[in-house]
Amino acid sequence: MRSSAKTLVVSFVGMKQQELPVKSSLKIVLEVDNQMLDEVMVVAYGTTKKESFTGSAEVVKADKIASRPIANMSKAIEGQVAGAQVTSGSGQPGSGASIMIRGYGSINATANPLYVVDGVPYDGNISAINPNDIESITILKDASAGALYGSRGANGVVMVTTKKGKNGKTSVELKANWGIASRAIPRYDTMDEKGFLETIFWNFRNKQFANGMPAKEAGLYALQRIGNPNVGVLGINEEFNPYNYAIADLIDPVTGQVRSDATLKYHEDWLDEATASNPLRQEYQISVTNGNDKTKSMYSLGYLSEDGLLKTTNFKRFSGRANIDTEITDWFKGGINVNYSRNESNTSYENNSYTSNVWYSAQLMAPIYPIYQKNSDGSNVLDKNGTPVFDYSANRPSGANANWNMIATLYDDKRSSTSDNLSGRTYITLGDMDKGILEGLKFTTTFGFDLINSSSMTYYNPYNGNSVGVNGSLEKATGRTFSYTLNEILSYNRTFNQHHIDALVGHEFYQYQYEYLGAYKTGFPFGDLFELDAAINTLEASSYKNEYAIQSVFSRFNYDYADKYYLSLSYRTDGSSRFYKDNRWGNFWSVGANWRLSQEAFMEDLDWVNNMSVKASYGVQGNDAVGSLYAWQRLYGFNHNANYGGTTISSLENKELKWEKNGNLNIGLEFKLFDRVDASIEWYNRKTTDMLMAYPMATSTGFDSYYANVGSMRNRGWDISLGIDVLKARDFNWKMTLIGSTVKNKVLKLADKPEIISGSYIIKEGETLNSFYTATAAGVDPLTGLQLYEVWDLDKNGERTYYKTTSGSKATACKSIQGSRIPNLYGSIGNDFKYKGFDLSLMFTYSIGGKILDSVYNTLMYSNYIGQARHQHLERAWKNPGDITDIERINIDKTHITTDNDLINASYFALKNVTFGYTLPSKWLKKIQFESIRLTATADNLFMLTHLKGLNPQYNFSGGTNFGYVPTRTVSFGIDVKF
Amino acid sequence: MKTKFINIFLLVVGLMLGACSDNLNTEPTTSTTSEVVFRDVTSAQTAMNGIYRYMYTAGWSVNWSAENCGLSGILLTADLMGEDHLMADPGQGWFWYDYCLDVQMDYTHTSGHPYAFWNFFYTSICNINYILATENTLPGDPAEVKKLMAQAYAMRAMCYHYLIQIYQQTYVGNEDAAGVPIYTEPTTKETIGKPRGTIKDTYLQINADINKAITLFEEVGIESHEHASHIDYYVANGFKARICMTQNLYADAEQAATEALKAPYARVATVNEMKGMNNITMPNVLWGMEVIAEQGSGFEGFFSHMDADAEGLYASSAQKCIDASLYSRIPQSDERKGWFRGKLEKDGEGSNFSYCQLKFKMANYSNRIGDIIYMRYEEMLLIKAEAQCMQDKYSDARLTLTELLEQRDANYAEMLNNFTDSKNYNSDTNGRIVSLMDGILLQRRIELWGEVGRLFDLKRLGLGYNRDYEGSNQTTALATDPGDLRFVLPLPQSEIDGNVNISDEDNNPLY
Repeated sequence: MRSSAKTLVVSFVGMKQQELPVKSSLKIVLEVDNQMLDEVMVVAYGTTKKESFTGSAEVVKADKIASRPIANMSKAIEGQVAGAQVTSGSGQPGSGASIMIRGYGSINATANPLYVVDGVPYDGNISAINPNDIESITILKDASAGALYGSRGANGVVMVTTKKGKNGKTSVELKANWGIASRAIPRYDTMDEKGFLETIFWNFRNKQFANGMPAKEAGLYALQRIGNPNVGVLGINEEFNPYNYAIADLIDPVTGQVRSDATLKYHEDWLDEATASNPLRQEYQISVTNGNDKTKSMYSLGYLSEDGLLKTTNFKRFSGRANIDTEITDWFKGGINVNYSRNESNTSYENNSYTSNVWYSAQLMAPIYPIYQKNSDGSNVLDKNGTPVFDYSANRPSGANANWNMIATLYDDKRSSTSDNLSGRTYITLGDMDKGILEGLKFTTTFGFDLINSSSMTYYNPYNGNSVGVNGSLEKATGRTFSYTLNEILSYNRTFNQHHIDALVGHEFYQYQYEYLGAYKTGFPFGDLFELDAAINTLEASSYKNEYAIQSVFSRFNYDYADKYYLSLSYRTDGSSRFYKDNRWGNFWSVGANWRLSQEAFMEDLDWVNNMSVKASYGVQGNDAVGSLYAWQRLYGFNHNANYGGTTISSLENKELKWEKNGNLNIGLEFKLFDRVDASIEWYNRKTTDMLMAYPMATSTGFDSYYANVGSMRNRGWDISLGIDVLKARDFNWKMTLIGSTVKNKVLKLADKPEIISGSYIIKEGETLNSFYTATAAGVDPLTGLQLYEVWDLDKNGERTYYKTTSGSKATACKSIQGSRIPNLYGSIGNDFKYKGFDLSLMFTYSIGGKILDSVYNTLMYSNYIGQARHQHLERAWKNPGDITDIERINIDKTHITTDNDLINASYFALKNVTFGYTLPSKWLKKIQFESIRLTATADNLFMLTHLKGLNPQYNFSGGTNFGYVPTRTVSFGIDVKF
Repeated sequence: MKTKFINIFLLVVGLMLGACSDNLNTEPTTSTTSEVVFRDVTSAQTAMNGIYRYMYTAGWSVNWSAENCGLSGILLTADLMGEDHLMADPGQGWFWYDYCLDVQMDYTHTSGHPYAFWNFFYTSICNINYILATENTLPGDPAEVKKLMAQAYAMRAMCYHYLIQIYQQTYVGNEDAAGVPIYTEPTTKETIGKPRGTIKDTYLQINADINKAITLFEEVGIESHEHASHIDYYVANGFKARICMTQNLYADAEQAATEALKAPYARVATVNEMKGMNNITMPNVLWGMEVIAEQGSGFEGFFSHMDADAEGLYASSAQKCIDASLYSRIPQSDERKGWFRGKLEKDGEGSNFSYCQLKFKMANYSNRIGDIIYMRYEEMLLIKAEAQCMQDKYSDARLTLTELLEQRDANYAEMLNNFTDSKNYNSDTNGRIVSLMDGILLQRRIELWGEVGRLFDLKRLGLGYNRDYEGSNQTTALATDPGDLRFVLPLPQSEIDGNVNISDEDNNPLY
């Protein structure tokens, strides 16, 4: 410091700038600048001030993440960021949600965003990151923000920044949280014993009645069929008749009603039996931050244990983190972030129609079948220890899982996975001096790695269920992932008067390796043996290795003048190992500008305008994440024939395969008015070209497709965020955040043929991606009770003549586009209230428009299996001539044709999170040397209003559903102590 | 300070560049390249064995792979679409809708049989075409090359032959109806989908391929195959016999069947020798797949669908049964009566179910495997007898049939005596057995029950059927006409979406 200096200017990101007189010794206390803190954010390869930013990015701050009782931070994004669509994710403890930013970027390549943790692309498990360690999450939405991750940033970037040490006194924080889980979405309204038996009655009765048998006779025939052991509804000798009357006396053959004086001998519910009551979630965390001028550090240890809503499922995490930054000299800095996490999960099957998946089999179990064996009076059969005996009945009909008891196998089978996750991020910075000829010049090299060792096991017991025929089976697998990123960046950052320059140039290499080893054996001499050694027959043993690498060179140039005009240019070139050497390199770039109107002289008089800026950016980003790591290559796979080695072709060669490109235009307006209203309004137009697609081939060529760059697609829409300080009083604050987004998708160009049809979905030029493509319902014929369909014939001029028919094959041949899952508007409403030490936040999310083809509901309505549960809506089904209804007569022999009638409005309104907190007054705490104590009560996923009870409208982005682990509601209490 | 700075800077940069690998050429570890496969005739054998493996590999559809256990699943489907073979229960639905003749509408997606069968045969053909493309260039012993090519030609003939039988009505009388697309060149990304052509075009290719295969086998000197799964001269003639029968070329069929029957390793097996029908070492096997433990398809395999005593597997909840009317026609003296359970007083678990089949049993329950037999000596006898009868060579036909029957039924002579010498046959498949032809066809239904796909016989013989007769045990009582629309599967939507030469209008009519 020059001896003539009189004033010292102290500034630090997020702190108020102070000017202090120079003294020989000086104590400086930095004050947090709340207004400023909002404006700084982490972006690609650095930080920036929000008002100077030319691109589109949003920040989710630590308090919004920590307030959610979640194990996986991907579930914290919902409702926080305009333009990010999020699925509910599974209820399995530890599982995450899928995030899609600004619409479908691709058809066959991934639509997932890139995750970056502390500056380096992350290949680890998201659940290995302790959400309590996160300082902020930045979502990069447009090209200007994300082009520096150009290679893989086309679907947006989720940047996670972990907490760092702070200069000043050592601070220790202890957090504990306890919660219990329950269903976030109620069950479907399925029929009880009475309704179920009546439905079976109508099924048999309708068939005969339609064949001309008089009603009463048909009714008597139906009762005889229900009781028939060969049909199996009630097993042998009506063993599964839960009522105190024989079936012939139970149901009136004319009205089809169960008699009113009938009583149930037992009542059991399979899904309830599989569901835990009040499963506990507990989380403990200790973190220490300290620092001085030279070294700053943060350490944390965390433990999380979450029991699942489904019995036997759980998740445990032990995690530890150390983040250290050291300034060795004024030109030599370095740091390391290390995170270790051990994740242990016990899981069960979901999202398939295996009997082992209780979300399928128990949900679809008709209510009359007992879980435990019953005596003739309806009481449980007990074993010699007095415990009820599971009913594995062979006499149940095929739809009711004969020879199986899913509750028993839930306990006797095992599915688990364990992973050790180690992630490290180290860097060295040279230069960055504040004077001399090298002032502003900085060289940084960063090495980051993710190492994941995981193992998994699927065990089926030898006594009942899936593998009883082979005396049990065991599959074990281990996977080893190692990926690293190494980069070197030279940057230059100087201010000359009003001109500010920030430029960088860098090189990066990324490599990913995955090694797999697994084996499958059958035949255990006894049960409860969980090692391969204990089994006899080896049916499978396999291993393989995957590799992937990217090499990149990149640069960025930022210039701003007088805090008014900002310009940002970036360029990156990437070579991907996924493509043939001649087509491996892709060029990505962006241009962005920001004009801060509020700094202009003409707006100086407008006191009520605190800030206003307009910005625009355009750029091109890339995507190479198409199905296979070796997509361009023609390969032969191994297919041995007994003891002869065998090979068959598995893929076609396409040397021309190259990067998919995403041209991203963003135009935005940002302002803050009256010190009260913050707004960000953005319009985007995202066009995907050279789309990486499975190019359709005629199946008769031996391939349905090969990977090629074809076609184009567009997503455009608005992202609007509004923050309003509704009330700003001394003791009472109310801040409201409104977020709304729209997205319109259009497929612009496909391959040779302008459409690809797959079941009830179509991808067609000029239409929204994954539009529903179904037959059209035209009511139920009141005379016969058959479904009518609106169909057409073509005359010789190609004109359609419409008419109604009951022919299913004609209806299938006359399908039309019936909308898609994509909503018209979605977003959130957040409210934060503060009164003295109390705070309350309420977050609502909403989605308006879009449709869902709910296959769970459809199964309950139209499944073809006797013995499966039925939906109460079948009470409306046609029964007698003259009935006017929308549900055709019950006839489980008939395959249901999907029509527009099966599409359900996907709109919803949900109370996602309520957090109530109380921070103890500091004057009390000072006496006991505590810095702060905060108590919280949180309810997550409190309620959701939908168009159909039981429906999960956030199951996926394409508008389907499956038999998945229901998302959970968590009510929890926490304490957070700092000293 | 400056020197230190520069030193450290150079050191760091040096380290970075040294550590920097630029290898962007990656290859999968569990695949190989076509250059390696077609290096010489020895390694090219692997490509043929890969296709043989397909014959018992499951998973030809995106979902529902359990009911797509290679060729055996296709033959089972064709059998269930007839009247002799029924399912006692829908089970989880696998094959049930085929049995109900209600799978046509599955053509719109890639999970059902219309897609899976198409995909199975055309994927095989595609692999065959890569082999045949090397016919004139493949290094190695020329005789070995010819043997390899002969197998490939025969296999291609078989694939097109099943395709045309599944996706179209029979040849005779429909010669100019749409066929199936024909490919004889190796597929590349530039390959354009071919049009359907006519049935006649399809059979021209099939006949050319099978004749070429037989010629090649003859050129290198007729030998027996090394393994039952490999096609040899005799198996190729077996294919030819089947192919000729669907074109009503009876003389050619007789001649080809006669050649096939010359296989030195095969003879008529006794019923006892065929126990479980799950072993390629049975003396009657001409062509069969040996399934070893690592290569079984588990619950997706053929025997899981057939053997009702395989605990927890599909057939245990959805028994495959013989039609009661057909069962009643098997004489008590016929040992094959034991292939079926018969009418039981009370139905119980597993195969203790009325009319349940016992012919096909798993060889090993703990591995869920059994060998799969695709051509046996007796089928050739039956083809030969039918072809002889059709040519009015009644006494020859009786002799041929005798070779089979003397191993089946002690009272066969009396039965044969009751048949009138005629090639006419009853159009009611539950009708009286009068002529020699009625007798031969009945023997075919009994002997080959569950094996060759009854639907294909119904089509070539111009028959329909009625499952809804007095005393029927059928669970879906329906009747069909000869040439019923439901006997033909539609082409899958994926073909129409990807083939510029085939549009919706070119697809087969739906029922």
